[in-house]
Amino acid sequence: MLYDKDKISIRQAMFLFLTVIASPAIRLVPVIAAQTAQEAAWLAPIVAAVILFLNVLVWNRIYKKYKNDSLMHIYSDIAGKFIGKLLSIIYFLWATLLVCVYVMYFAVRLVGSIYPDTNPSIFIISILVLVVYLLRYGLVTLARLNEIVFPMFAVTFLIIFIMLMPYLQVIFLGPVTYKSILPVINAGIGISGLSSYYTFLFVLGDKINNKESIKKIGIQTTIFILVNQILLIVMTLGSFSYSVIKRSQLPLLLAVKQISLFNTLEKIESVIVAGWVFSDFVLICFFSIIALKILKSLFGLSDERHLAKIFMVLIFFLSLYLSSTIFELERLSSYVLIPGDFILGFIVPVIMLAVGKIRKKI
Amino acid sequence: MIKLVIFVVILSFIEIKSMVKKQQKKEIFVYLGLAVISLALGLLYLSNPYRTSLAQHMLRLIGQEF
Repeated sequence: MLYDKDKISIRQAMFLFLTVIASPAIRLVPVIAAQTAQEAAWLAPIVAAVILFLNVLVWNRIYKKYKNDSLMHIYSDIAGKFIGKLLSIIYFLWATLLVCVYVMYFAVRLVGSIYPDTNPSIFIISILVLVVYLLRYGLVTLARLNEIVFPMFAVTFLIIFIMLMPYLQVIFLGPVTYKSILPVINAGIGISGLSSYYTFLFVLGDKINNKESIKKIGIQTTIFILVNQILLIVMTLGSFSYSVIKRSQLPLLLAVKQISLFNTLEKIESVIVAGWVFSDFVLICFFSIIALKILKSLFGLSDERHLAKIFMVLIFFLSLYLSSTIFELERLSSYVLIPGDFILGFIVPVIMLAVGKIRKKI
Repeated sequence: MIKLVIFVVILSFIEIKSMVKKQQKKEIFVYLGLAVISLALGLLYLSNPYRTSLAQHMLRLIGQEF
C-alpha cells in the first residue's frame, strides 16, 4: 500500500459510510421494520446485515482485479463503454436525486422538530453554503472531519441507549414465532436499501487506499451496523410498541424525549438533533462529491471543483421543486428511493460480478 | 426572477473567468450546461411554487400517488 495525501484509507471510507447511513437509518429503519415485521422488527437488521455482507464480498472480489479504479471505470471495462456510460449517467442522476431528497429532509425535519413556522429555504441555503465551502477542500477533509466527529456520536448513541433502558418494555419486542420469518425477511430487504450506499463509496474507488482490507473492515462495519440497528429498533419499539412507531415520523426523537435523570438532566433530544445535522451534512457532501466525480468521469474533465457552486444552485431549486411536505418525501423514500438504492447498490454490482466472471474479466 | 438571473450570470462570470485562465474548455461547456439547467429550474419553480411537485410526478408514474 502506498500512502497518498489525496486519498483516504478504507477505514476512513467506512467511517464515512457509517455516518452517511446514520441519519436515514434513524428516521427510516424503525418505521420500515415496524410496518413490515411488527413485534419481530428488531430481527430485521440481521437480514440487512447478511445482504451487506454479500455486498462486501462482491466488492472484495471485484477489487482483487481492479486495484485502483473507480466504479465507473470498472463497469465500463466489464460491460463495455456504452453500458458503462449509461450506468454512470443513471448513478449521476440517482446521486443528484439523493442530494435533493436529503437536503429537503434536513430542512423539513428541522422545521418539524425544533424550528416550527420557519421557512425551510433558510436551512436549505445554510447547508448548501456549508457544502460548497467543504467541497473546495474535497473528500480528504470530509473524511478527516468525520473521523473525529463520528466516534463521539457513536459513544453518545450508546449512552442514550443506556439512559433509555429503564423505559424499555420487553413485552413490546415479542412474541416472535415462525410466522415472523417472512415479515422479518421483507423488513430486512427494505432496510438493506440504506446499506446499499456501500456501493456508492466505490465511485471514489480510485481515491481509497489499502482496498486489500475491504473484506476485513467491511465485516467489522457490517457487525457495527447490525448492533446499532438492533439497538435503534429496541430503543424505539421497546419504548412505544410497533403500532406507535410505524405511524411516527421521528421515532428516536420521540423515545429520547422521555429521558429524565433525577428530574435534572432533560431535553437530551437536542443531542440527537445535533447528530442528525452532522450526519445530514456529511451525507449531502458525500453524494455531492459523488455526483461531481461522475460528471468529471463522464466528460473527461480535469477538475470538477469549479462546478460545485452552480451544482448547488441546481440542487437548491431541484430540492424545492422535488417536494415540500414530509409525507411526499416519506412516500418517495418508501416506493422509489429504497428500491432504487437496493437495485443500484446491490443488484447492479452482483450482475456486474456475474458478467465479469462470464467474460473472464474478474 | 431577475435577481436569480443576475445571480447566475455573476456566478458564471467569476467561475468561467477562472476556467478560461486555466484553459479548461470542456469544464466551461459543462458549467454552461449546468447553469442553463439551474436557471430553467429556478424560473420554472419561481413562476409557480405551488405547482405539482416532482415527487408527485414520480409517484404517479409508478401508480402510488396520494
